[in-house]
Amino acid sequence: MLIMRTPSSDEDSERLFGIARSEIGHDLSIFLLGDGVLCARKGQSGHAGSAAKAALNRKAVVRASARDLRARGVGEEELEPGVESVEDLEGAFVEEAMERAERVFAW
Amino acid sequence: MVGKKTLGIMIMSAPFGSQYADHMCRVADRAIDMGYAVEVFLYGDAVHTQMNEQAPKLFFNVGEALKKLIDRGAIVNSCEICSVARGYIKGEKDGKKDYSSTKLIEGVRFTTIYGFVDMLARADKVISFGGS
Repeated sequence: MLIMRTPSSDEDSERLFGIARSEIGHDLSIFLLGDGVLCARKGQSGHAGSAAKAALNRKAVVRASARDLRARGVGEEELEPGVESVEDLEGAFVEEAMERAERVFAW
Repeated sequence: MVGKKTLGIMIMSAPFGSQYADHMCRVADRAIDMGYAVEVFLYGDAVHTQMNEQAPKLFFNVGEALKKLIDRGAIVNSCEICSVARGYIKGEKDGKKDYSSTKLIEGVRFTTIYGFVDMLARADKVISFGGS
Protein backbone atom coordinates (compact mmCIF):
# COMPACT_ATOMS: atom_id res chain seq x y z
CA MET A 1 0.00 0.00 0.00
CA LEU A 2 1.20 3.45 -0.90
CA ILE A 3 -0.31 6.04 1.44
CA MET A 4 -0.04 9.74 0.67
CA ARG A 5 -2.80 11.12 2.89
CA THR A 6 -2.78 12.45 6.42
CA PRO A 7 -4.19 10.09 9.04
CA SER A 8 -7.03 12.22 10.40
CA SER A 9 -8.13 14.86 7.88
CA ASP A 10 -10.95 12.98 6.16
CA GLU A 11 -12.88 9.75 6.13
CA ASP A 12 -10.85 8.38 3.24
CA SER A 13 -7.99 7.61 5.58
CA GLU A 14 -10.32 5.64 7.79
CA ARG A 15 -11.53 3.65 4.77
CA LEU A 16 -7.98 3.03 3.69
CA PHE A 17 -6.91 1.70 7.04
CA GLY A 18 -10.03 -0.43 7.05
CA ILE A 19 -8.63 -2.06 3.92
CA ALA A 20 -5.31 -2.49 5.70
CA ARG A 21 -7.03 -4.22 8.58
CA SER A 22 -8.80 -6.56 6.14
CA GLU A 23 -5.44 -7.81 4.90
CA ILE A 24 -4.93 -10.01 7.95
CA GLY A 25 -3.41 -13.26 6.80
CA HIS A 26 -1.57 -11.65 3.90
CA ASP A 27 1.86 -10.11 3.82
CA LEU A 28 1.42 -6.36 3.93
CA SER A 29 3.91 -3.64 3.08
CA ILE A 30 2.97 -0.02 3.70
CA PHE A 31 4.85 2.86 2.10
CA LEU A 32 4.25 6.33 3.51
CA LEU A 33 4.92 9.18 1.11
CA GLY A 34 4.27 12.92 1.33
CA ASP A 35 1.64 13.73 3.94
CA GLY A 36 1.30 9.99 4.47
CA VAL A 37 4.43 10.03 6.64
CA LEU A 38 2.34 11.68 9.36
CA CYS A 39 0.65 8.30 9.81
CA ALA A 40 3.92 7.06 11.30
CA ARG A 41 3.98 9.41 14.29
CA LYS A 42 3.52 7.64 17.57
CA GLY A 43 1.00 8.65 20.19
CA GLN A 44 -1.91 9.44 17.87
CA SER A 45 -5.47 8.64 18.88
CA GLY A 46 -8.19 7.00 16.81
CA HIS A 47 -8.10 4.16 14.32
CA ALA A 48 -6.32 6.11 11.59
CA GLY A 49 -3.85 7.68 13.98
CA SER A 50 -2.84 4.35 15.42
CA ALA A 51 -2.83 2.59 12.06
CA ALA A 52 0.94 2.30 11.77
CA LYS A 53 1.17 0.72 15.20
CA ALA A 54 -1.69 -1.66 14.40
CA ALA A 55 -0.07 -2.63 11.10
CA LEU A 56 3.28 -3.24 12.78
CA ASN A 57 1.57 -5.41 15.37
CA ARG A 58 0.31 -7.53 12.48
CA LYS A 59 3.86 -7.97 11.18
CA ALA A 60 3.43 -5.51 8.35
CA VAL A 61 6.49 -3.71 7.07
CA VAL A 62 6.00 0.04 7.35
CA ARG A 63 8.38 2.39 5.58
CA ALA A 64 8.28 6.19 5.52
CA SER A 65 10.01 8.62 3.19
CA ALA A 66 12.95 10.17 5.03
CA ARG A 67 12.81 13.20 2.72
CA ASP A 68 9.16 13.83 3.53
CA LEU A 69 9.70 13.30 7.26
CA ARG A 70 12.43 15.95 7.19
CA ALA A 71 10.19 18.28 5.15
CA ARG A 72 7.56 18.07 7.89
CA GLY A 73 9.97 18.33 10.79
CA VAL A 74 9.26 14.83 12.06
CA GLY A 75 12.29 13.31 13.72
CA GLU A 76 12.93 9.59 13.70
CA GLU A 77 12.53 9.57 17.50
CA GLU A 78 8.91 10.61 16.95
CA LEU A 79 8.07 7.56 14.84
CA GLU A 80 6.21 4.51 15.98
CA PRO A 81 8.92 1.98 16.89
CA GLY A 82 9.47 -0.35 13.96
CA VAL A 83 8.74 2.17 11.22
CA GLU A 84 11.67 2.33 8.81
CA SER A 85 12.80 5.71 7.53
CA VAL A 86 13.89 5.19 3.91
CA GLU A 87 15.73 7.66 1.67
CA ASP A 88 14.60 6.07 -1.60
CA LEU A 89 11.00 5.36 -0.69
CA GLU A 90 9.86 5.59 -4.31
CA GLY A 91 12.41 3.03 -5.44
CA ALA A 92 11.53 0.66 -2.61
CA PHE A 93 7.85 0.97 -3.48
CA VAL A 94 8.39 0.34 -7.19
CA GLU A 95 10.47 -2.75 -6.50
CA GLU A 96 7.85 -4.16 -4.13
CA ALA A 97 4.94 -3.31 -6.42
CA MET A 98 6.50 -4.66 -9.60
CA GLU A 99 8.33 -7.72 -8.31
CA ARG A 100 6.62 -9.01 -5.18
CA ALA A 101 3.14 -7.65 -4.57
CA GLU A 102 0.07 -9.45 -5.85
CA ARG A 103 -2.04 -6.35 -5.37
CA VAL A 104 -1.20 -2.70 -4.98
CA PHE A 105 -3.30 0.01 -3.38
CA ALA A 106 -2.39 3.68 -3.67
CA TRP A 107 -4.28 6.30 -1.73
CA MET B 1 11.44 -3.71 -25.30
CA VAL B 2 10.24 -7.31 -25.15
CA GLY B 3 9.78 -8.57 -21.62
CA LYS B 4 9.98 -5.18 -20.04
CA LYS B 5 7.42 -4.85 -17.27
CA THR B 6 5.10 -1.87 -17.44
CA LEU B 7 3.95 0.33 -14.60
CA GLY B 8 0.65 2.04 -15.41
CA ILE B 9 -0.23 5.22 -13.57
CA MET B 10 -3.46 7.17 -13.46
CA ILE B 11 -3.40 10.62 -11.93
CA MET B 12 -6.51 12.68 -11.19
CA SER B 13 -5.24 15.74 -9.30
CA ALA B 14 -3.80 18.99 -10.59
CA PRO B 15 -0.23 20.00 -9.75
CA PHE B 16 0.56 22.42 -6.90
CA GLY B 17 -2.84 22.13 -5.16
CA SER B 18 -1.52 18.90 -3.70
CA GLN B 19 1.64 16.84 -3.99
CA TYR B 20 0.11 13.95 -5.92
CA ALA B 21 1.64 15.05 -9.22
CA ASP B 22 5.03 15.40 -7.50
CA HIS B 23 4.74 11.90 -6.10
CA MET B 24 3.62 10.51 -9.44
CA CYS B 25 6.60 12.01 -11.26
CA ARG B 26 9.08 10.79 -8.67
CA VAL B 27 7.68 7.24 -8.62
CA ALA B 28 7.62 7.12 -12.44
CA ASP B 29 11.16 8.46 -12.64
CA ARG B 30 12.46 5.79 -10.27
CA ALA B 31 10.57 3.10 -12.19
CA ILE B 32 12.35 4.16 -15.38
CA ASP B 33 15.67 4.18 -13.50
CA MET B 34 14.97 0.58 -12.54
CA GLY B 35 14.28 -0.52 -16.10
CA TYR B 36 10.49 -0.54 -16.19
CA ALA B 37 8.31 0.93 -18.90
CA VAL B 38 5.98 3.63 -17.65
CA GLU B 39 2.62 4.74 -18.98
CA VAL B 40 0.79 7.68 -17.45
CA PHE B 41 -2.84 8.64 -17.94
CA LEU B 42 -3.81 12.22 -17.07
CA TYR B 43 -7.45 12.45 -16.10
CA GLY B 44 -9.69 15.26 -14.86
CA ASP B 45 -7.83 18.16 -13.30
CA ALA B 46 -4.59 16.22 -13.73
CA VAL B 47 -4.50 17.41 -17.35
CA HIS B 48 -3.15 20.69 -15.95
CA THR B 49 0.06 18.73 -15.50
CA GLN B 50 0.54 18.92 -19.29
CA MET B 51 0.74 22.73 -19.40
CA ASN B 52 4.06 23.98 -20.67
CA GLU B 53 6.16 26.75 -19.15
CA GLN B 54 5.21 25.93 -15.57
CA ALA B 55 7.49 28.04 -13.40
CA PRO B 56 6.89 27.56 -9.70
CA LYS B 57 9.25 29.58 -7.53
CA LEU B 58 9.16 27.32 -4.50
CA PHE B 59 7.45 24.09 -5.42
CA PHE B 60 8.58 21.01 -7.30
CA ASN B 61 8.36 21.74 -11.04
CA VAL B 62 5.86 19.15 -12.24
CA GLY B 63 6.00 20.37 -15.84
CA GLU B 64 9.75 19.87 -16.03
CA ALA B 65 9.42 16.48 -14.40
CA LEU B 66 6.72 15.37 -16.85
CA LYS B 67 8.83 16.52 -19.80
CA LYS B 68 11.78 14.59 -18.39
CA LEU B 69 9.61 11.46 -18.11
CA ILE B 70 8.58 11.78 -21.76
CA ASP B 71 12.19 12.35 -22.81
CA ARG B 72 13.15 9.20 -20.90
CA GLY B 73 10.58 7.11 -22.75
CA ALA B 74 7.45 7.30 -20.67
CA ILE B 75 4.19 7.35 -22.57
CA VAL B 76 1.96 10.13 -21.30
CA ASN B 77 -1.65 9.93 -22.43
CA SER B 78 -4.09 12.68 -21.63
CA CYS B 79 -7.87 12.55 -21.58
CA GLU B 80 -8.94 14.55 -24.62
CA ILE B 81 -12.39 15.42 -23.26
CA CYS B 82 -10.81 16.71 -20.04
CA SER B 83 -8.28 18.66 -22.10
CA VAL B 84 -10.91 20.21 -24.35
CA ALA B 85 -12.95 21.19 -21.31
CA ARG B 86 -9.96 23.02 -19.81
CA GLY B 87 -8.95 24.74 -23.04
CA TYR B 88 -5.75 22.90 -23.84
CA ILE B 89 -6.94 21.54 -27.18
CA LYS B 90 -9.91 21.95 -29.48
CA GLY B 91 -12.00 18.94 -30.38
CA GLU B 92 -15.00 18.26 -32.53
CA LYS B 93 -17.68 15.66 -32.03
CA ASP B 94 -17.37 14.38 -35.60
CA GLY B 95 -13.96 13.01 -34.79
CA LYS B 96 -11.91 15.72 -36.52
CA LYS B 97 -9.70 16.87 -33.74
CA ASP B 98 -7.46 19.89 -33.72
CA TYR B 99 -4.64 19.21 -31.31
CA SER B 100 -2.46 22.11 -32.34
CA SER B 101 -1.83 24.05 -29.19
CA THR B 102 0.81 26.33 -27.78
CA LYS B 103 -0.06 25.32 -24.24
CA LEU B 104 1.24 21.77 -24.17
CA ILE B 105 4.38 19.98 -23.13
CA GLU B 106 5.69 18.33 -26.26
CA GLY B 107 5.08 14.61 -26.47
CA VAL B 108 1.81 14.38 -24.58
CA ARG B 109 -0.66 12.17 -26.44
CA PHE B 110 -4.44 12.37 -26.39
CA THR B 111 -6.95 9.61 -26.04
CA THR B 112 -10.37 8.87 -24.65
CA ILE B 113 -11.03 7.06 -21.40
CA TYR B 114 -10.83 3.89 -23.49
CA GLY B 115 -7.13 4.61 -23.71
CA PHE B 116 -7.03 4.08 -19.98
CA VAL B 117 -8.70 0.70 -20.42
CA ASP B 118 -6.06 -0.19 -23.01
CA MET B 119 -3.37 0.79 -20.51
CA LEU B 120 -4.93 -1.50 -17.92
CA ALA B 121 -4.56 -4.36 -20.37
CA ARG B 122 -0.90 -3.59 -21.09
CA ALA B 123 0.35 -2.76 -17.63
CA ASP B 124 1.68 -5.31 -15.17
CA LYS B 125 0.65 -3.10 -12.26
CA VAL B 126 -1.50 0.03 -12.15
CA ILE B 127 -1.52 2.63 -9.41
CA SER B 128 -3.51 5.82 -9.02
CA PHE B 129 -2.66 9.19 -7.57
CA GLY B 130 -5.04 11.80 -6.24
CA GLY B 131 -8.69 12.41 -6.83
CA SER B 132 -11.26 13.31 -4.23
